[in-house]
Amino acid sequence: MIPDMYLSLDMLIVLNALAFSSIFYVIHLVIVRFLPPEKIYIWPIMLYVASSVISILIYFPFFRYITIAAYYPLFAQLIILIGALILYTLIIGVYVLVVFGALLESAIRIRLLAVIANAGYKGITAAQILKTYNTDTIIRKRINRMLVSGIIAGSDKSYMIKKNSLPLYFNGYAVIILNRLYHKSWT
Amino acid sequence: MLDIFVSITIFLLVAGAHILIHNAAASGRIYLPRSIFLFFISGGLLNWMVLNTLPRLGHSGWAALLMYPLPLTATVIYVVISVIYILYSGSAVYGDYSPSAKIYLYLVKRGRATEKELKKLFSDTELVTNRINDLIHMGFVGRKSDAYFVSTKGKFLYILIEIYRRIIGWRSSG
Repeated sequence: MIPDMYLSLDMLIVLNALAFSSIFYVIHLVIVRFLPPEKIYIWPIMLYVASSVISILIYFPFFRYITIAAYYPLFAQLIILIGALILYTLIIGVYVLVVFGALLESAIRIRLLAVIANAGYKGITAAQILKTYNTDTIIRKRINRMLVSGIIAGSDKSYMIKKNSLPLYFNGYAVIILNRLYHKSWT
Repeated sequence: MLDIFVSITIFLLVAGAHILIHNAAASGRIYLPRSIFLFFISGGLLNWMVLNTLPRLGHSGWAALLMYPLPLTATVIYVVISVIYILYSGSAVYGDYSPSAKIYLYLVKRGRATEKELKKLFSDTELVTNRINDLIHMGFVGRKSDAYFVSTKGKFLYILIEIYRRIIGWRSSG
């Protein structure tokens, strides 16, 4: 029996998107521990592509049946697949942005919180923090990440762009545009 | 399909309203972090109400495809883009440019730059001191004379992040 088509189609898109996201999550849970943190700009994209391919391959013989999508005409099944892929892309984007951008790999505040927490009850002064964690170390680390990921090339003497990075481009301009909007006086 | 269009429109209206009210109310550097959640939660409720009142029947052909009800999908899209917006607007209001993005855009503009030139774009105050002050402002860190201490709230957040870091086996940070 086919349930109410309208509501179910909507539900199927969301369910499949969650199933695809779970595939990404499980793969990342297994693989991430073996990946070099410096390659943070490369592996989320590779993992996303790999789990998308696996999801599409699994979708037709497996998900379609367990999520009753197979009862629908092929056109509807394609809509479910495309909708689920779009939703899954957004969910993975937020996960990578929050977990690896805002909390784990590139979060300066979280690193500072760890440094202060590890100092214990004696506390730590700004000068002591700056001895080990400062502009030099922060920028060096980021240049290294971009070098390892092949985004930039060069040495201490001179760096240049080697290949375009859409995430960095988007990240940079999104903050610049929002910063202008939020500091604009409308009066 | 119309549901998705409605969700994106409501998201844009909520974001626009937040920018307008923030700029009208803000004297100096207040971001109203609580207000942004309130705005987007209210927007989510409005979104759900509008999606439930859209006309659904009596269409055929392309109109039927356009009016195809996808309220759940549209709601998830609204939530996800709102989270992305909240993350970026926070960085934008506090002037927290991602150092990597700043380096990247500088190199795009200039073509070439030495490590020394790149480091000159930043300062310890911008990268470290201001961020410690933000942690104090958010209640994660306290200060006694010159020394910084982690607060109970900060310790809790730190432990949560450490647990998650161990679960996924991630080694690096910052």
